[in-house]
Amino acid sequence: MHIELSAFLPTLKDGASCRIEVKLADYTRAPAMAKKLYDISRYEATNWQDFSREIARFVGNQGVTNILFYMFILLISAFVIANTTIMVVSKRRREIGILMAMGAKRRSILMISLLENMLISLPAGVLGAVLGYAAAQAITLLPLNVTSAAAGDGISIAARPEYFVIALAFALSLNFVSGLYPAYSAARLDPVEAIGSE
Amino acid sequence: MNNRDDDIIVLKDLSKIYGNGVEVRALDGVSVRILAGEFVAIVGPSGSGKSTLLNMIGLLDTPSSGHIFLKGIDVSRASPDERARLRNQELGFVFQYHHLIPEFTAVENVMMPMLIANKSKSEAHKRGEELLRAVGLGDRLHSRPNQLSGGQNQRVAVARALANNPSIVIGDELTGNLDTKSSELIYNLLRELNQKINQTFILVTHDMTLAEKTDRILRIVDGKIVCEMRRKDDGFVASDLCEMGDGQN
Repeated sequence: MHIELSAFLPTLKDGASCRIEVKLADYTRAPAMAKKLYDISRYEATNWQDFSREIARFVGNQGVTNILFYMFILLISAFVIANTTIMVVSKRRREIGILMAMGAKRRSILMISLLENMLISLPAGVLGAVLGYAAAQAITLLPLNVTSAAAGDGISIAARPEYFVIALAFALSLNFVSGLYPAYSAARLDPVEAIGSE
Repeated sequence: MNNRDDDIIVLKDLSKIYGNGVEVRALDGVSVRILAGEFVAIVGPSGSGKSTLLNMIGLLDTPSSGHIFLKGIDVSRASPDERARLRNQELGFVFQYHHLIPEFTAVENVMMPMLIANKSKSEAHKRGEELLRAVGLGDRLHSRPNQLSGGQNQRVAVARALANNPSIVIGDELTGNLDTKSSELIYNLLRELNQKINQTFILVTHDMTLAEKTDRILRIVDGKIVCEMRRKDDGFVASDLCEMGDGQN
């Protein structure tokens, strides 16, 4: 139902109590719109940010918390990957030593280690993207009481193709960076020590 | 000591010192000359420096002072890449444990040094087959190390050491982990290769039965060569150095 505000306001009798809720496409403009409505009507106009300073602050800080959150996830992932690769290298010390004794150059050892890392990370990245998508879909099936202007009841997910590309590119580059140090240390092994190690 | 054409490796006054604070002289002024086609054993108590000496000859380790001449060229200060190339082309290694790569079959393991040398796969496979046949494993080409016995694996390792026709094959206690019968088999194999293709072998061992089958025994104690014995007819003739030694070994 659409009613012009100028037509509606005079119908209100003195002493009557009425509340009108306005939903904006852009929630950040609520304070400005409240002020505008007040200017027009001279009726009390409050916005959601006044109701809940906490929520307003939370929403405002969300960008920062998200970045911190992502950084932690990245850091933890990088450590796990580096750790795993270091374990692989230390388990293969002797084989690396033998390869060196057979004449493999340091650069080759470095490349082998990086290549192995990449060969594992590609299918792992694809698997991660698929699992991520499946998990997101599963969340939409939860009976959450959420209403949004854009998509109606429930949570909807935006699964744009570029997200998958970004996720995969991210996984691969994270793997590459995390694998650099272990690969470098493998290439720097002393063949005598590596072969002698139990 | 002048280099001669048939010298394959010459060590001049070679020393290796470990540690910063407390110096450990693993090798102390070792000079040796080994000719092409020689079958040499290096013996000595553990910690005497015999493995260090072998690692020097194998270009796996660098000397603190002194020189290593491989085929007349001073390689003691060669770059890591150059030493890697020489290890690939001029040297073959057999260790106490076969150190084969477990994921690869026998023939694939033998192909490794050739693939490192950028030989084609088909060429490497062909030579790998030949070598495995030569060590008596022609029927086990596609077996993995865990499907072979210790002696068989060590024979694969010998085949791998020979892959690029090296000037010298180096063995570090290569029968140390084998029973008498397998050791015998490996020795016979090496001797046959030594006689047939004039392959130079340098073995570190504390198995005197094996050492006494070689042509030349170098005894090393505290980083110095204290005795040298050469085969003459059925026995060994000790050099002047040995007078102070215990003579039994």
